[in-house]
Amino acid sequence: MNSLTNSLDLVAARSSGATKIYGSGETEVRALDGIDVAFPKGRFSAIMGPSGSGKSTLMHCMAGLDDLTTGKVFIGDTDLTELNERELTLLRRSQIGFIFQAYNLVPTLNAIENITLPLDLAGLKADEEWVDEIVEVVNLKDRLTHKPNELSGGQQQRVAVSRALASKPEIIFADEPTGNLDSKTGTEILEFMQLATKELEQTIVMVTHDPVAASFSDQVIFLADGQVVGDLEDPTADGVLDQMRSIGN
Amino acid sequence: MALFKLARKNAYAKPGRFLLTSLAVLIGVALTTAVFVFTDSLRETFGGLSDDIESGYDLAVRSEIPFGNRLNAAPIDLGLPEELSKIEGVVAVQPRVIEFGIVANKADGSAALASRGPNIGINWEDSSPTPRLFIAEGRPPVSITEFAVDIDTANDDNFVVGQKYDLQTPQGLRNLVLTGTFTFANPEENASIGSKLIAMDTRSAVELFNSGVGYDDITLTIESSYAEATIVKNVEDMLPSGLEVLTRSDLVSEQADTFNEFINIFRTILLVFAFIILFVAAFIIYNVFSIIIGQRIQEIGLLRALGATGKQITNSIVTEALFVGIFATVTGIALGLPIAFGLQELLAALNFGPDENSLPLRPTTVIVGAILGIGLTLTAAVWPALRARSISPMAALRSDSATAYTIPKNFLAGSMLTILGLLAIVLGFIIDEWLFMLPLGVLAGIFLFLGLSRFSNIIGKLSFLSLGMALLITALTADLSTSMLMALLGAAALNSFLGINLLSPLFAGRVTYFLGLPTAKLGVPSKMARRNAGRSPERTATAASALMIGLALVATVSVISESLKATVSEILEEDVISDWWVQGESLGPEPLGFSPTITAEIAALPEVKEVLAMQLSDEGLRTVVDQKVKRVYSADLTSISKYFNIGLSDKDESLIGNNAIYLHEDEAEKYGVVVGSTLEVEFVDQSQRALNVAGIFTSKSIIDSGWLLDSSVYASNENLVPKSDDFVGVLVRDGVNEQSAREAINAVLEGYEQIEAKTKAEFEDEAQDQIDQTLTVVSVLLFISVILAVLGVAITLALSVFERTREIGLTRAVGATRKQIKRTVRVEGILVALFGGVLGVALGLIFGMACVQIIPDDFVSELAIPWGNIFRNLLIAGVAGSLAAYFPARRAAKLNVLDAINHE
Repeated sequence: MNSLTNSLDLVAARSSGATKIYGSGETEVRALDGIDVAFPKGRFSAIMGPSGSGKSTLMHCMAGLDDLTTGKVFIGDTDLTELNERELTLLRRSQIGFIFQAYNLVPTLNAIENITLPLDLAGLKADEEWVDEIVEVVNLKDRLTHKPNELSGGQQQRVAVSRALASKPEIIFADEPTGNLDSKTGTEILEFMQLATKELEQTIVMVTHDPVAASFSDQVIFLADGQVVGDLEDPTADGVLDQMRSIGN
Repeated sequence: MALFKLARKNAYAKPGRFLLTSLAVLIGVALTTAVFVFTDSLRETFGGLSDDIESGYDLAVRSEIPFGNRLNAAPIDLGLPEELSKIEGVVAVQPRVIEFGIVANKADGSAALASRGPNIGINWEDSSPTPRLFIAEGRPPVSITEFAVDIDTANDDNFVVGQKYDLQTPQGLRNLVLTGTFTFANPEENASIGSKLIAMDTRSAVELFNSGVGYDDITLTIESSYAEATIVKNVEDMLPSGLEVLTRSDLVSEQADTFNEFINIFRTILLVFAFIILFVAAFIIYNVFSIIIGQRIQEIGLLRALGATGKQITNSIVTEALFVGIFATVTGIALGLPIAFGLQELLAALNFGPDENSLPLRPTTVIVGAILGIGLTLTAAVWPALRARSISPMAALRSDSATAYTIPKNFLAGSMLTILGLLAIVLGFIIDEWLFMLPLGVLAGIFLFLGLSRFSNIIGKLSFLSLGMALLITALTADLSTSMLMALLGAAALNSFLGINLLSPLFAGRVTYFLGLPTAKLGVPSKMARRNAGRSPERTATAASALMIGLALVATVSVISESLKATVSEILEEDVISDWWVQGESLGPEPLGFSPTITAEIAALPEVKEVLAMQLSDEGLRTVVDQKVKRVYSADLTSISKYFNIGLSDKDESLIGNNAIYLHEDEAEKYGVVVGSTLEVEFVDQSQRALNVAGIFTSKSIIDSGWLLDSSVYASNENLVPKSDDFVGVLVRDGVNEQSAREAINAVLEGYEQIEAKTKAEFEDEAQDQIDQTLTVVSVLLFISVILAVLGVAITLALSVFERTREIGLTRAVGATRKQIKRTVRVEGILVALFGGVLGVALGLIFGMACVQIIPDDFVSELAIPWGNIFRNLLIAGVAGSLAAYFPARRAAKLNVLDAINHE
């Protein structure tokens, strides 16, 4: 257990001995090698590492998108490894929010329809006040009826962020959310994510390889070769960069 | 439903694609609707007419016929009308005479033949208070030297009241005075719908049209205060045996029933074509939806990541299909109406049928259209929709996810489904009805596929084809009725189609590679095209499938018709010996007969050695033992062998002249008779005879029913028609050349335009022409399905180009010219089309040959394969593929390089 473990009811998601192996024998690849992590509620956490470190794989497994070879993964008190396909789907619908690097939105739906999509899937009505507040915060009020191809990259990501927030999930997973954006727009998105954790009490876990993006988070976990190799509280971009360099050696 | 909005938006997102997808189903539904509307309108029109024609009386007295054509019924005794008029309540008694083939010759000597109906001779009804004929000009005929004609014929053919004209009658040519013109059924307007009417006074009509024997029926008018039922009973009591009485409404509905039978057959044939088009449409829908889903893998993955269950995804796709289906159905039904109108106009232009237009759209028609349109679209989209269920959320994140859908192994379900499949087949054989065998055969295939797939994917894929081949072999070897065998063949064909469709991805790559080798000279574009066709073999195979079906059908039809032509040739070559052949034009199952006086005149010609008169009666007699109605030919048995070769294997000429008959060996076996036995039969006039079997013959090529009566049988019974000859074989004297013979015979036939004399060669040519004509009509209808299939290929190519946008951009960036890109797409189009074409032609040949084998030998006995046709069709397929690729190729070439590379 690392030093970030708090008492269990303040943990939004955690893993225990998470291992994922591709291939076998000679060609075996251990994408995840016995990882124990815990992400506290109400905090903006980042998972960092060079490519091939297993950070995306870890996120996918913790979000129920992919399955582990051995080990366990929990969202709240629910053990994901015990759930079947359908139960995982329902979990993703109600408890988990997603922001991807690219291809975040359904092209034939407009912005507001994309934002309420997970709720529509569950057959639930959106909390109108809540959605209005989010839209206000991310500044999308006049773009709600536009389709994704009528929005800029930054606007699309803002819609994705709004969608992730709209269903008030237990935890939001973001996979390189600013990877395709210029630095100014990227900064905006990261600031929104900070806002979400502080003002709207969300829990966000972000995977990134960009130290500047990581500096927006409350704490960073470092991964290399499928294992946790370090952590940093209240990171700065330089601090993250230093730690990354030391890992590399 | 959550994804309803998404389904709707997806459906309408690309209107062009939406339209194209629904096009095939639309056309199928439109044609089906048109067929129903058209046949319904025919029924309506005829119903109205029937009422008009049989108007103005209450009861009809006529001969009872146990079977056969009413026109051949025994005439009614001349004394009966007087007896009937004595019945209380009967106010009027009108005897009627009606005879087909009564033709007046125009002033120039040519025959005034009706083109849109028959030529009919009737009597002038002067005993009825409500006659059917109304004088327009002049006066009714009263003696045997006078006649009247309907007003339309008079106008069209320039008949002038007061002039003399020749009239063709069963008693020969008579020169008569035209005393007046009339309208039929309506004083204002002639309602004879295209037939030409000649009227003579009743006594003369009986003498000239019915050879003086009697009336054809008698109508009665009742005084209104009397109950119809009472009169009917009184009439029945006094009628001699062999006669019956009907009410007018009975008569009208009887006529309607007969017409309905004919209409239904007509409708069935047209519907078969519509269904073929719908079958092709199903393939197109299946293909398009598979491609659409392939394109949307990332989007579907995203939805799954966001929490959409597999079921929601499937439902969304099915809903999208529903939109397509509903649109296609509604538009199709709407389009069906103008098409029905067009059919009516077409028929009128061909001078066939009534001139009116009505477009009745019955609820049944709409329901059938809806079931077909919507049901078909949903069924075709179900499989791709189910496969989409297996798309995992990871597909949103990785761009290389495959959608290989493998049915999960399940031994229990597998065994049960397999057993169900086998049961379906067994049930088909037990019920022994072709109407059930066909769908059961296909159902069995589906069950076997679903069942065996749960054991092993490969075995599952092979199941359709294996079943198809098994059914084919059964059809070729089993001893069942022809209709059952054809149903088996049909089921075999459908299963084989589905089977090949499933398996063709396995060899699509290799086959297209070889097919494309001739284009290798074109360099890289050709290589890329060949590889591309093989890269997504599923897509290539499905696009080609629709084309495969169309071409297979065309191939089958051409094999059958070519074989038919070869058979006819063969028969005429070997079995017809007479030099000349005289015959009237065809009027349905029997040709138009002509007077024996003509035959006698031909026989008397110096150029002619001798003649043989033959008669044909389609429902001539009925066997007593099993009550089967037989089509019979009659001729002088002693002379037959000089004119035809029927393969007499055994005969006893001493029996001829005494109710003698020659039987085909199959019929002899069926009734257990040999030369010298007797066979009890009943004729149309209910008289019975014991026929003596005087000979057995082996060939059904001329005497297709196998029953050949001696001419003395009919001659000895006054009641029996035919009193006219149907065919006359002519042997010409030695030394007379064809030219002189033709002139001599035609001189006799002058004035009888509808009777022709042909040499053997001309007869054969005419038969071949008729077959060709039918083939053309059938082919045109089939080609519509081929065109749709080509459309399917076009859509596939367009979508495939879209899918490879980035790759095309890359190719252009490294130096490919627009022309080379165009070429790649075009070659790919040709390859896909040829792939379907080759498979289709191969299947078509196999099933065509099987058909020829199954069809009874007396119809088709020779196998002939129109290789020229086949290769021409393959060529057309290739060209069609190139055409289908035209627009996609242009699109591909026009892509902006940078945009393409950056395309998602």
